[in-house]
Amino acid sequence: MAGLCLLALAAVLAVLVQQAVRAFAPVPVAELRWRSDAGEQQMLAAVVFEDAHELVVRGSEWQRRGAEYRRIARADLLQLDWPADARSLRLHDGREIHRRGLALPQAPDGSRPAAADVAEDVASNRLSRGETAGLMLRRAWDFVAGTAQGGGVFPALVGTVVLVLLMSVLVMPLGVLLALWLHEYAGSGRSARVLRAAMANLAGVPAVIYGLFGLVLFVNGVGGGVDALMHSATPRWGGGGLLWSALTLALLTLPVVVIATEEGLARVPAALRHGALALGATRAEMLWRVVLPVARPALLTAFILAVARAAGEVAPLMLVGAVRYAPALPLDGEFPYLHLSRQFMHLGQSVYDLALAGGDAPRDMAQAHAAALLLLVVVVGLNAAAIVVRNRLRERARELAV
Amino acid sequence: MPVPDPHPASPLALRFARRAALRARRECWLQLGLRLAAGFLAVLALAMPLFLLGSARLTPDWAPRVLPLLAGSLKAALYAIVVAVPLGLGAAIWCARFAPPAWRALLKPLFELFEAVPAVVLGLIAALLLAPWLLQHVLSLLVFVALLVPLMIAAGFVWQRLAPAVWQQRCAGYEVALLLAPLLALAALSLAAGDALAATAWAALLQPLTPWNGLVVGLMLGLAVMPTVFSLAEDALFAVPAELALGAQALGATRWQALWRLLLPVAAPGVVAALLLGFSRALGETMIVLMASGNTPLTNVSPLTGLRSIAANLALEAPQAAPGSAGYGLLLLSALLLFGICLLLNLLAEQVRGRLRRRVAGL
Repeated sequence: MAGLCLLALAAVLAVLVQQAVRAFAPVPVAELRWRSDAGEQQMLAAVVFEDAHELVVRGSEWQRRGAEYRRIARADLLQLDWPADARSLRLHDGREIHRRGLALPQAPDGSRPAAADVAEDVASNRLSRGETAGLMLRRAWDFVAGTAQGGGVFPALVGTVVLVLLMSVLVMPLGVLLALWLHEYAGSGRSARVLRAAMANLAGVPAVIYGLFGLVLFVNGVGGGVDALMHSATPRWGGGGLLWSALTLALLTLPVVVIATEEGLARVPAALRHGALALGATRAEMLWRVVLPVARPALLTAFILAVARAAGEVAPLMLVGAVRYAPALPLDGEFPYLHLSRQFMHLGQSVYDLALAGGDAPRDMAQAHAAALLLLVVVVGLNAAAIVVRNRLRERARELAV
Repeated sequence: MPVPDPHPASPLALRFARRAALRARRECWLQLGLRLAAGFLAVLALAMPLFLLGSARLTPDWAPRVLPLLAGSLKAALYAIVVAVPLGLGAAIWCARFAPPAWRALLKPLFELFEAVPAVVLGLIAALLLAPWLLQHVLSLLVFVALLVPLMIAAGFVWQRLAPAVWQQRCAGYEVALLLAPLLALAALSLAAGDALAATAWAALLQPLTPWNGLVVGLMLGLAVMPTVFSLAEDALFAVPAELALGAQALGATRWQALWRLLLPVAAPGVVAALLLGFSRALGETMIVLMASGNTPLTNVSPLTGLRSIAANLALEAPQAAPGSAGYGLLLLSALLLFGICLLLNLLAEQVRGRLRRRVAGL
């Protein structure tokens, strides 16, 4: 059974990689002639999908991205060849245009794309293996570092990173204080028992309920109140925003931080505490100078786990501020640099939007898989780091205890 | 008029006194901070249900609008548990009792990693790849599941009776790896069988009406909650002292009997807790259901039709709902319902786990 589980999950990963690669692979360009209701037609187009019954092709996108898909039945096909001089141009806004030869092609309305607009110019049918690999690497990099209009996830990546950092700034002090209180001060009194139970139950509350709580309390309650107070005509704080999302995620990850920190505190040997107290330290000094430094890897584990949990959560963010397309990054060079009330893009939200609500289905779906792979690598990498740090911590605690 | 001090303190003593006062103040601040943090937690734990309760509204037409959502949630979670329990529990039993220690040390963190896989990634695969594939291959899946257990029993039988003793010794503990080939063969066979059966009347009966249906949700959601079930059940099974099983085996029980009659009953509270928490997690999971269920509010138990769960409904409708409107009130009511059910399940699981802890401590 364990084998079956592992097989299933390995299959998930393999499928994800295979689909993600399709987002970057160059598509061959064909010269097509086919019969249609409007008579015989001819076209230079990229062949996106091909099987025994039909072809799906993408012509030059003069108007907008994703507008030129065509489905052609094999039975209607009169001629299909792969000219060696076919080239595809990719413009900065993500559109793709095909042509033969080196001259810049002409749009149906007579205009030509400016040379400055062209991001990429590839001889699609004549690529060697090395060139293909180089092209795919370059496209993968463009995808990670590109703007949202050109089909990149850079804004979503920035949004995710800023969000989780803000969230950890909010949650870490509180979580560590709570863990200290629960572990060092509370003892086993009644209030401590009740709070422990509350903590365990907060960990089990569905994430989307946190999102709703954030929507009711922060966005509509606090944000709406601030807007009313400032008489602002357009909702500034009363809509979803970075700060509200970070606060919501901070509440969501609070149990994670507390549980991980408490586990680390429990591993600090009692002899260290007693020694510090015997040497005349106050309790605050004992905690600050002895216990916390020894438990530092546990704090790191808690931080990493919280970040990993927050980076993978999408459902609460859909309610409190992550949007499909945000015109500006939450972090830029304009005062006050970090824009707390701005809506932002999030990697997980991009996966959802690209997959189910994209305007250019075949390309967006492949890109959704690439974004999902990126998210998976980030989250699983962080968790793996947390596991490694925790195991080190356990070894060290064992050494200290001996 | 200043009074002259006949015994002025030395500068060193003054410094010590200042330092002591500072340390005492720090101690006070820490206490205050810790108390505040605890108070914050208490407020938060209380505020969450109260806020939901405060804004929830019971309009006269609540039943037809909320109950289908509840039915959808329960349906999705039920199918998820049906998938997750055999997988997770089977893996836990093997990992806690039969696996070589090195494999266990590797598998535990691996499942923790799988638990961390973002739900949106699984939802993406369910919606875009699994759903269209399953639309054509439901019969293959059926054949695979139906033949899986007989295949495993047969493989075990063949291995026990027919394999030479030398082989058995050499592979002791690693028999699982040998199952891989029969499993792959079965997968290929069921694919072929499913295609062959596709023309029969059964196929028409089992044809899903939509690619995004309960079956897809159940499979992917089951995969998502499987690590939760696994790690809780594994902890419970591993906590049972090994001497119990060894004693039973010394008295002539087979490993299977020791497991089935002794270990599982002793660890039963832990396993039940794993099941409850798995169910609670499946109820609250949003992205997979949102992406793979089709979001049609139907009230039936058929795995071949779509569903709309409370959580997915929240994610879809809450961003657009106007605060204070009737729809908003109903959304919060459904959220309160979900919150209550999850809370109940968690409390129940905690109780049951406490019983396990006492039982194991008694051994």
